[in-house]
Amino acid sequence: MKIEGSIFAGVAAFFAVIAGLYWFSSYEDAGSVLLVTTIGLGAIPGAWLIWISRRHPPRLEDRDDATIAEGAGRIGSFPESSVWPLAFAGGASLGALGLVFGIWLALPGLLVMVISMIGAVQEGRRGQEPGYPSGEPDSP
Amino acid sequence: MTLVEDREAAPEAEPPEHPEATGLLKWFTTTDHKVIGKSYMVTAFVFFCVGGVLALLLRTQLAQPNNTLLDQQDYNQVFTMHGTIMMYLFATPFGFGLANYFVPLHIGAPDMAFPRLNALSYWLFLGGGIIVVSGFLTSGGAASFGWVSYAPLSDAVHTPGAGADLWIVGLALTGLATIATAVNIVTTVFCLRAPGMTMFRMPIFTWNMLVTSVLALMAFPVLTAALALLFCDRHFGMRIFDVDRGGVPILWQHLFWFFGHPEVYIIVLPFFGVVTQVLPVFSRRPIFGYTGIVFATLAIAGLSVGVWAHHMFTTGAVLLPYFSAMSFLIAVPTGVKFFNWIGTMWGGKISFPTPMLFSLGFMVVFLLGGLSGVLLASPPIDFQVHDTYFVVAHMHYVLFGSAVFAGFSAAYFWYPKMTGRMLREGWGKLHFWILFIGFNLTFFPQHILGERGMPRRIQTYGAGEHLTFLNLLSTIGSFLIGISTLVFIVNMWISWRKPVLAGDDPWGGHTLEWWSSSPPVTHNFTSLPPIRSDRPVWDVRHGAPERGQAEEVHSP
Amino acid sequence: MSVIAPTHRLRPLPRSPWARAAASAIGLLALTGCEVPDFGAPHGATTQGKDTFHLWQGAVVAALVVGVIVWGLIFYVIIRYRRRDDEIPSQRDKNIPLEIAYTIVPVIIVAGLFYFTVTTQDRINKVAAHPAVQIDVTGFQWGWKFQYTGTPITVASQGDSKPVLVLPVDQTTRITLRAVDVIHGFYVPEFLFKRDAVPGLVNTFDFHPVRTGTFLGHCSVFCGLRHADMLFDVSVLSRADYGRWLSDQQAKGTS
Repeated sequence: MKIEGSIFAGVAAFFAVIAGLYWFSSYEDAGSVLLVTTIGLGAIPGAWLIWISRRHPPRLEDRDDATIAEGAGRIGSFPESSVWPLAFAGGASLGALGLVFGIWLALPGLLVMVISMIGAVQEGRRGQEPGYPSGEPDSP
Repeated sequence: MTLVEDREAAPEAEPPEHPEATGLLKWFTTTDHKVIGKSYMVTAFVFFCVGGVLALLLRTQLAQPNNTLLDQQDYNQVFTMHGTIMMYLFATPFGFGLANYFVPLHIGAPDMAFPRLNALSYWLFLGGGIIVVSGFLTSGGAASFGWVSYAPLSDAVHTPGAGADLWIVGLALTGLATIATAVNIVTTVFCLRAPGMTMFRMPIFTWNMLVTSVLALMAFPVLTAALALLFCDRHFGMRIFDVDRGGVPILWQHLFWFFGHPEVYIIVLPFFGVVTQVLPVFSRRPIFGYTGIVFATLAIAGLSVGVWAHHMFTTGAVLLPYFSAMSFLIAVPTGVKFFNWIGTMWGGKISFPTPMLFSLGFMVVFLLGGLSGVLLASPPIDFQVHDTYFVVAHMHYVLFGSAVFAGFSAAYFWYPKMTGRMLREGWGKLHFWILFIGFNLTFFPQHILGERGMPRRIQTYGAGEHLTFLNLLSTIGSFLIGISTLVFIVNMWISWRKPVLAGDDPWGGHTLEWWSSSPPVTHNFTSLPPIRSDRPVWDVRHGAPERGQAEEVHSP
Repeated sequence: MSVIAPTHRLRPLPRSPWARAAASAIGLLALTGCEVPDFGAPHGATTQGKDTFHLWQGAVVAALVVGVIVWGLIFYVIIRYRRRDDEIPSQRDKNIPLEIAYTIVPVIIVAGLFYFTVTTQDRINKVAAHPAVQIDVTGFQWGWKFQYTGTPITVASQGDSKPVLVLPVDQTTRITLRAVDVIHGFYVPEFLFKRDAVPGLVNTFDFHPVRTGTFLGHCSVFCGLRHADMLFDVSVLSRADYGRWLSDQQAKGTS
């Protein structure tokens, strides 16, 4: 996680320099505010990732010498199919059209979005749970 | 529940199926990153064709002076939608579609980190895209303020009508889709790599997609915010950009270009990645200066967020030396990439199938785009050529060069992986040469048109302005581009009707996607090779020891 | 009148060794400005425009030199290393000194371009303390209005006719640029110059025309329906002609 964290930390550091340089050479508000908020965008995940990397030993994907076999087994839950993304996007599109054409379209859109959110949360963890293959490969 | 062991018994290569052969309901509910990735790419290609037809209309209108094929109102809508579709609905989603398909394959992951969020991104993109384009169906027509939508032209007084509102809300939806995909890609890269796949062993395409995603996280929220402000200005009387009520029109440009310049690199970086995958395979060489390429990508991304106001040099309201210096500096990491690509080929054994031709074509045209970009970074030169056809030419050399040349390179390179079939080489080469000639014929004359002072976004020009001949050339070229796209469609049709099976690894690939079957099985891998470098499949096939121990490796 | 010094000839040599090396390379090109092709750009009808034109020539030459080298390398590699047999080639994947070199060389090149950019842009953007003529230019949908400060003269777009901005040759004219509705762009290709007219902002800049003639002007920033029609002419007159035009107009204005 160290390298991952330092990418975001690097974003924060780079934009700290740029924001300072920009503000003191232009005194222009809009760009300076955007640059300063970008520091936050880098600093928050960067700090978290570096913090977590210090509390845990390197993961298999952080180690040069890890073998595939070490990682064999379940690695997470990946839902196979779900209708809720389509429903939610449909609701969002209706809502967007409602902003243009009137509230009568936005309300059903909002309703569909709420229902699909509930549906997606209820769906929970179903589906396949793949892992890394346990063996080394056959030579080709 | 299916466990991995069960899937190992699956046949090595399933009989290839046409991607659309699956049931419609299955498509509607899928969360498989491969299906979503293909959907992204197919949808983006459809938008490319729509935007291309609009471009042909524009070029036909401009073929002769004082032409009246399109009146001013239609012309303004058509060029606005051409730019909008190509930028937001073709180039960006095509790159993210490739990422959707290949990032998990590249790092040995079974899927994206958030499969349902991934599906949501696609549907939001599709919904937003249709909403944007549906502006043509409204009584007032589509948005007509240019793809940059400068305030106060884009306010309710100067551009009334639903077309403009549809443009705003549709782009907000596609922007949300891009943000969600970016989060998904960052998480996937950080958390789902296979054991031994350290950050500095990832394929460069995946590195570039990671950097692109971080860039998207910086840029797209600003666009969404700007669009929200614009919408509130138009409907709720916010007057953020209305100078008569204390607003600041130039603020729109700051917000827009703070998004807009990184957006250019959000489009370009994935295709830099594609080229960096293609060149080593057909040169039979490792990537030259892997670490250098990674840091160059990071440098390009960082600098690209600091240069937004070079689009605003002529407003007289921005600090010229700062933005000029930052813009010049971007040329350095981009140059480094070029030398790395040349270094990759240097000393290799280069073969020239279609993907390689398109990658080389990308290098040749992108270089010219990069050089004209360096000229544009100089404010005095920008004072002459800004907002003229010189910028149009530059932008197409850069964006068409990457999204189309490198995009087709990716299409030919990975089509066998995605479908299990080959595209025909003969048709592919024909496609490349028509496109290459047509592209240069279309856009090279536009440099000179711009230098002579032809402003962009004008519906017509006078007969006495010495612009006619070059415009005619440009129009002829644009129709060649159209024909080349038809050749590509024919090529896909042939491969669909008379399949030539590709096998798992038709090119002798280096990275993990070539280890999987074509098309890859559900959750991608039934086995993985040991990952000891950035090209594990090469290492296994050529028995290479760990990188660094031996620099010269000869085939056993 | 010889107030127009060919500034590129009188430019003092910069002091730092880097800049001096770049200066002698690009400066040499600027000195021989007449022999360098124009690469399609107008040659400039003002001192400012000529300045930009010489920067343009130097920058294009520099870009082409870099381009020819890199294109050359690409084609050399393609031809020299095309596949002739199936041997596995050298797998060397790094060369640190080379990589450092091709990072530093572009930095030097762009530093040189940046130096000439900044010096040129300072000269172009400089406004004279006492310009001979001052004109308020206003852009509106879809036309232009030129008001000559201190006189009752106003020229504006009417119908489809192009308004004419009349300037005296060999004298400095100050333009003060405004917009009333949306953003427009004041662009005269032969002057190699444009500046945006932004509502709420006032932009000022100087022209110092060096030859007489009529030059077409455009609106460069897309401004709505009839953007393409927002044309104007710039007519640069000799001093005598300009004086006559001025008195004619004033007579018309007062009558």
